Amino acid sequence: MADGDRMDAIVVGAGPAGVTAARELAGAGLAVVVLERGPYPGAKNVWGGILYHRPTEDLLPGYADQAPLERPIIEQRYQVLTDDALLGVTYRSQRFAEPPHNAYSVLRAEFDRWHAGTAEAAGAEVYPEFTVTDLLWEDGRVVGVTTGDPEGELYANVVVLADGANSLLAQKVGLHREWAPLEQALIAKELIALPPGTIEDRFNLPTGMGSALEIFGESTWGLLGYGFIYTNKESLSVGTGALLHDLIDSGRNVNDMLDRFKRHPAIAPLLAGGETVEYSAHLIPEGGYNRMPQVYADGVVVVGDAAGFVNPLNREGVNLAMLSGKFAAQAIAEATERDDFSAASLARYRELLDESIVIQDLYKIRNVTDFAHARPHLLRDYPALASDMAREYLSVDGLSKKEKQRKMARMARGLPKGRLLRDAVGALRALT
Amino acid sequence: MATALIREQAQRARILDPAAIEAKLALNAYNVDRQRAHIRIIDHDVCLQCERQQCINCCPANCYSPRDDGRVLFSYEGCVECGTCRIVCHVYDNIEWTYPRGGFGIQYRFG
Repeated sequence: MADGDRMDAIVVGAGPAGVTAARELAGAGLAVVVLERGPYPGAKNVWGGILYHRPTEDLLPGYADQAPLERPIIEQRYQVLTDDALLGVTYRSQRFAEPPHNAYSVLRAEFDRWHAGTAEAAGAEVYPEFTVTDLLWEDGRVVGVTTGDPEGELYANVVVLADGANSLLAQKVGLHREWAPLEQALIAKELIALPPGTIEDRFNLPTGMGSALEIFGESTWGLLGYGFIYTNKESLSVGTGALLHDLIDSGRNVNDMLDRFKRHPAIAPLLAGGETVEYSAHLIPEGGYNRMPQVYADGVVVVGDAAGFVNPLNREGVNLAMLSGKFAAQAIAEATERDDFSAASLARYRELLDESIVIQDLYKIRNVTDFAHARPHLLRDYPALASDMAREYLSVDGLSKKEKQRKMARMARGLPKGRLLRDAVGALRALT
Repeated sequence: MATALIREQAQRARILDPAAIEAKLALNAYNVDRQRAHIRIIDHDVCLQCERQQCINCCPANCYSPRDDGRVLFSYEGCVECGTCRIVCHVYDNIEWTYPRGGFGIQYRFG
């Protein structure tokens, strides 16, 4: 304890960011508690399902021997659906099949519980079943948290807000306003049980290995988002999602979208005979760099999803969350040495973020969402055109090759004049 | 008046297959807090001004349903605590949204 009943730090939320912050703080010899609203860490947490190895190994050396992992991911498939067709590219590498693996499929309820144990082993206290309803203030500084009843008040030098995509607490601190529909994506997911051998047969996998599929286009009615299938040991994580703004605009329901995806003739055979054992839905903060909230104030820092540290383009979130937790802990440890928990002192957290891939990557892709959102035809017209051209090319129907070539060129010319060029230039600008 | 009401209701979004959601929610583990609803519609009359009532179709757990009188019925038992409705209702800001008390609500076994 830093000072009587006052902790050095309170972490709100036992997800990847909060647990990493707690473990690092405890490792630095600070008194830290984690308050988790679920009955166990992970009970409220959802993701698609891919954990990258290297960033996890950097924070938790040797974790792969202990953590509950599902399958090493040895291939990535990017696919596009039209009404009746599927096009795609696959990258599979034998190198991904050998340790150190690049990535694993993981189930959060199991992983997060295990992960919280690493913070406890370092000396942090993790208390489930505590919902923090508000912060405690003194002279405009955050000095603690409350669960809403008088006995539920807890004081600390710094509060780490790791309360996830909704982060009601960061809003109470005034660090950001309510999220807008353009800043959040909504995902619905099912866990579909299948025997391991069936999964390996259907996805052409060696025993124990896994595949990750991301599927654009009609998987989301062409809305900005995608469908996914990730292989677990004895189940598939199957989901779809889109920007909340687009769901509102189109009047679509995300579960209707998921069911339609599952029924697609190119997808249904992969799932056939599977039994759904859980249904989940979650927001993903995708506002990115341009809409990032202030991440520190007097006596408080914001980490992980609560701060919007998600890279939707590269399917990264948990690794960024963990890194942000680490930097928050480092900044708090330094602030503790200075005995100064003001915003100016905690600004060190932002400095560490700025020097890392968390901010650098988010800055790099800052215009991607706006680029794609301004072009609703991207995931509708191009897949349809590519499918039409591929079908023409592959159909042997008596037309000469020269006639076929002309026909395919006519298809491409059906696009509005100059659109392809404008989109290509726009994509380059957004990505470089 | 009746025609206006029908027209207004036609603009409301509809989940294509609400029964499918209900069947999926039945697979989930919940510890429902019978003492306290963690979400509530603040003023049911405000919903009458909302033309599209997107809370109804955006909720992934089918917690919002249209009432015959044009208002919206909310039930929290199947809520997955995603936060969608709160953000969807940004124009009228008519949803009071909190988390369930500690230990209550959805309990993902896989996530």
